[in-house]
Amino acid sequence: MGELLSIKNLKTYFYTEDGVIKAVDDVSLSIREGETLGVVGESGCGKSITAMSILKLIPNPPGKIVDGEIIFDGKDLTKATDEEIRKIRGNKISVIFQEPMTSLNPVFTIGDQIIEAIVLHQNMNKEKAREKAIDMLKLVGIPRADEVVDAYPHELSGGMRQRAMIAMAMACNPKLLIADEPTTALDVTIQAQILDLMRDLKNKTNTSIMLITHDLGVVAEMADHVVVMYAGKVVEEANVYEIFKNPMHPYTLGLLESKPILNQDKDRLNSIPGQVPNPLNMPEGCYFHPRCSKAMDICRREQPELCSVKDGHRVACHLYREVK
Amino acid sequence: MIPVLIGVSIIIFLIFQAAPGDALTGMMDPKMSYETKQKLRKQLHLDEPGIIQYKYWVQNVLKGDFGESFYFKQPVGKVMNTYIWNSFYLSLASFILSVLIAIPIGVISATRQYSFMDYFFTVFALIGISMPSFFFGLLLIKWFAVDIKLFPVSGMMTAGSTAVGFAKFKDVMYHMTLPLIVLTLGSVAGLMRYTRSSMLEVIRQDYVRTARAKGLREKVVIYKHALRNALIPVVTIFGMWLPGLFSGAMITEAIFNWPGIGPIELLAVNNRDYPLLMGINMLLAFLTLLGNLIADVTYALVDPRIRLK
Repeated sequence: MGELLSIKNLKTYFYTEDGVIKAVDDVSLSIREGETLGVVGESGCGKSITAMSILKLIPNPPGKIVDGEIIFDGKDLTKATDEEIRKIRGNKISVIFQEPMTSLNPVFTIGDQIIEAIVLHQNMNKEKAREKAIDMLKLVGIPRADEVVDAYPHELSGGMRQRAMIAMAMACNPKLLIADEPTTALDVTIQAQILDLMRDLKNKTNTSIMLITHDLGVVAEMADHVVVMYAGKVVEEANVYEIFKNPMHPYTLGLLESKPILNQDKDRLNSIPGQVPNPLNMPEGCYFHPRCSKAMDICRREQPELCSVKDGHRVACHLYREVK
Repeated sequence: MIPVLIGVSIIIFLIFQAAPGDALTGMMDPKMSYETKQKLRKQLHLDEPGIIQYKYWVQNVLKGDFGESFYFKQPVGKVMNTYIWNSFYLSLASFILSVLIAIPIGVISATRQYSFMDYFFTVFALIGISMPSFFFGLLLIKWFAVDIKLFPVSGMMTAGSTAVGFAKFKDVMYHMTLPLIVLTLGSVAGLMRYTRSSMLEVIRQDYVRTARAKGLREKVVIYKHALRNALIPVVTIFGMWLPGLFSGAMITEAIFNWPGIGPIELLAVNNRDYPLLMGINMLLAFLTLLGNLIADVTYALVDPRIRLK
């Protein structure tokens, strides 16, 4: 499996009146063909911004990709022109957003919105595109697809809308599907259905998925490879078995400990003490040290680099420097 | 709508009942004897209680008869018909022009928020809103009609003109230019700010990002996906403009001596021409209600979410 997308030292900053927010600060990651990469982290850790940077969907101003490379299909997307990026959006790389309730345009029918993408990227006339749209709706498990194609978003439930979003995203057989918390806004049974659907589609079409989530259960179920982010940086990276069996970074450990476990009687869930640092006022040294139970002197002074500890397992923590 | 209209008619009738004088004081010869006056009063049912008078008035109004104007010595319907269309042409032209100018400007202002263009149009809108129309009108007359003699000072057609067809249209347009500019400046300013704020709200919506993520051109994203949504609240004010199209612009019409309904209203007020005033008020009330109805219908047309099943 070759590398489909690789992000190298990406820095996306937001220039606000109060100062520069380093939303994504020196992030590197890669996705192989047919692989699902889980990107995990708390709200505001930069996981969505990393994904949006790939397609240059960062509102500019105030956001800007300051440095780094995003290599997709042998091309650096950070240097692509608007025209080039438009040809990739929705075609080779498509996105599913978090909020199915607001991500579809309320004044156009589901069909119109899917057909639009098909007509744009594939040489198809309207009638053919409509047939394809109906096929796609059937593929994502929407009953009465030939009626739903003419429905407006408000006539569908949240789960149905997310299915329609997936149909729209998959309509042009993308090589990479960015799913930005696709199930966060849905209730649990629908979540499971949507995840099943995404896995099915992935297996059928060999599409790579970049799955952004803060739900470790979703990651365990879906991902092949996991990247853990904290405060705009990658803190740990490993394959999914390794992350769950042998987590290394204290933050990853904290995340795993704060996960509820079935059949275990506990009054309160564990939580990581403290708060996510203010992005305008990051602590010196390792960004995690104020909340870290294992913080050492060096953590307050020096920022740890992402180092390979084991085969394919990388972690950014001073604790493991000696191991290597 | 019908009950509201009945209510409005009662209020209008009551107000004019309460106003000093009646139909006779407006029409009569001051030298008329008391007996003749009483006889006439009886003939015109003016001696009867208000509610009976209201009945007569409504009966006639339903037949399209608003009575006779004291001042013009003509049926009210005829007076209104003569002048209201002149106002309508001017207002309609101004309406169309405002929409054509204001909406694109509003969109540009919103998509390039805080840019030079945005500030420029904001200043322009402020000038448009705060400039009194009588002053701006006089300024235009001074510059374009008196100094460089590009446009006529006043009127709707060249005096004594017998032009018909296209020549007449051209003559009217020529005379319309200056009042049109005055009227349009005021309405463009408001409408543009309205479009801008509506658009600003919409371009931050998730579905606009979705449209962009699909790979659509920025123009399609803005003018198809965003504008359709941004226009929903704007369309409601279009309906409100319907009475405005017929009520005329009193000041602007007066300044440019445009033979519209605006100056006629003023004349009617000054001369206590009650039947004419009641007629105009009734018509405007009706148009306001009709405008609301049209707004509701267009609202359902542009927003599928409120369409009835």
